[in-house]
Amino acid sequence: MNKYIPVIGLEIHVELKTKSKMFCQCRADYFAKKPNTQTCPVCLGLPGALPVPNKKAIEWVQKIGAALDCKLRPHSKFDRKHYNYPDLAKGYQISQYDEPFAVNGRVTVCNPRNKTKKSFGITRVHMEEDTAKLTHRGSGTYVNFNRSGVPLVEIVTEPDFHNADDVKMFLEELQVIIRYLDVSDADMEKGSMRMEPNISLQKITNDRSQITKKSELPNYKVEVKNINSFRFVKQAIEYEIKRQTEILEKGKTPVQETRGWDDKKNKTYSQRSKEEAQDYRYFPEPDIPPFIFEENYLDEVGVSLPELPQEKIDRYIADYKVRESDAFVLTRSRKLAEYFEKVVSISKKPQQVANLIINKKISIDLTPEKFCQKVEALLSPKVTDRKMLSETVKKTIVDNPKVVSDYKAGKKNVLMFLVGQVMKAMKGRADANLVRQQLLENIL
Amino acid sequence: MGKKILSREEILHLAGLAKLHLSDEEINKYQGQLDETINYIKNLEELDTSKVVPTNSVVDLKNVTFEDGAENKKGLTVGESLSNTKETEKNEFAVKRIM
Repeated sequence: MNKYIPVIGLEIHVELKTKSKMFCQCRADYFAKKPNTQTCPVCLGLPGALPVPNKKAIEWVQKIGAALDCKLRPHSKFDRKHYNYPDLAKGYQISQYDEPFAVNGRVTVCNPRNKTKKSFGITRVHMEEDTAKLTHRGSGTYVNFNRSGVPLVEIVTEPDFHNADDVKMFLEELQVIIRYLDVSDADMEKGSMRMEPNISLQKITNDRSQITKKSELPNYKVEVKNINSFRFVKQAIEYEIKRQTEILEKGKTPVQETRGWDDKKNKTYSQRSKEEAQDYRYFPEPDIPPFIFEENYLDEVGVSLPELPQEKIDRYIADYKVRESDAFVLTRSRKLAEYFEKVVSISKKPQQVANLIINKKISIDLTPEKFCQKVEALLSPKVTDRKMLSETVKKTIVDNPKVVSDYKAGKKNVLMFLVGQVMKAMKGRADANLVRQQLLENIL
Repeated sequence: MGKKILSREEILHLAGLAKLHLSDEEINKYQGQLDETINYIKNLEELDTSKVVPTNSVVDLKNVTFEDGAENKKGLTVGESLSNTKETEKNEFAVKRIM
């Protein structure tokens, strides 16, 4: 019997794939570029340089906010978050504190395996800048500013998760949503999507409803960083649940801290004690005037969203009568979903098309039109040309005297070879049972 | 001088955030200087600001942005970018190892 219930919230960082950086015109695609070739006074933090926000990045963070069912704030601004570390030349990161672009959202995730739906709260979605990239070798740390100032979106969830599986399911859905919006590669290996779970344990009281109340949250939380795959998130959470349970069992409270994930040892390790918000000495960024958005503009952001994966699943089930598990698979990428819809619009056989795509019976590299032709060929009953079959069978027997004599001598399995030869000559347009029957009649 | 506003611990905490290593003498010095600064700002308490809206920006501007992909007129070469630093290695800024 578990005495504790995990309380987990998430912070997810997503790098936007804009052409320019967040506050300057340097190129944002830093991946595999030579060090420090994409810099300017702004992203190097040189004195006197003035940041100007990238319009598209702000449109995109609002798009993400709207897709996560957030309220888009009509008034927003940037703030300075101070800390000293070599990845941040200015001594502060331009971020957002009390007026993020989007707040109070919700994401509903369906689990196709058990056909349940769960919904998780989104606290806020804000815009900030990525930091320089550090590499540690020997006695030195080396700093590359190509990544400094790349647009970075932070998504913060409510502490609504109580197990590692739900976290994994949510993160996978979030990645799909971001990719639908076409605003980021959300590639964890390349670092364009990163996540940090906050984990603590709540003692179970008699009244189970209490655990969801904010005032009842545990008095500590442990943040885990450096996780670059969905599998590791799950492992890190499970490890922390075990580690914290052991500490609590001894009557102690786990230390509030930031821990790293070691994917070789499969454990978390202490990195540093977590700063309090006041230590960041946030204040409004004086170099960037505030943002005020008209209601019409904000409404338009919501209207312009593409149909999202969960909406597609619902529509496929309602309109196409496709199985829920198939609808889930088909909607994992927008490209695949749109291909499926195109094929269905021509062939009008949604469930069969779904099967053929998912089981890879027909290549989706074909044009939708070609795909439909193959669907017709596969699904239409085989009509065998009797005259042609009779001729082909006779010819095959004449052409393969050795095989025929082997058959007569008792090697019954060579018959399949002859069936294959006939099918090949008929280009597959024959019923296999009929071919077999005709061959036997002609051999004997 | 009356009672100190900032304790010795608070001074050390602030110094830690700024990565400053202070001697005992410097701790006393900063304690005095920061107290003076705080007392100066405390003068504001004499004014009634209850009807004043917080000022986030002193300029009368809003929604200032640039178009994504605009020409980069201030870009620096690797040489220029590294020109003000003491230590470099393979076109990167080099600092004392931090991890």
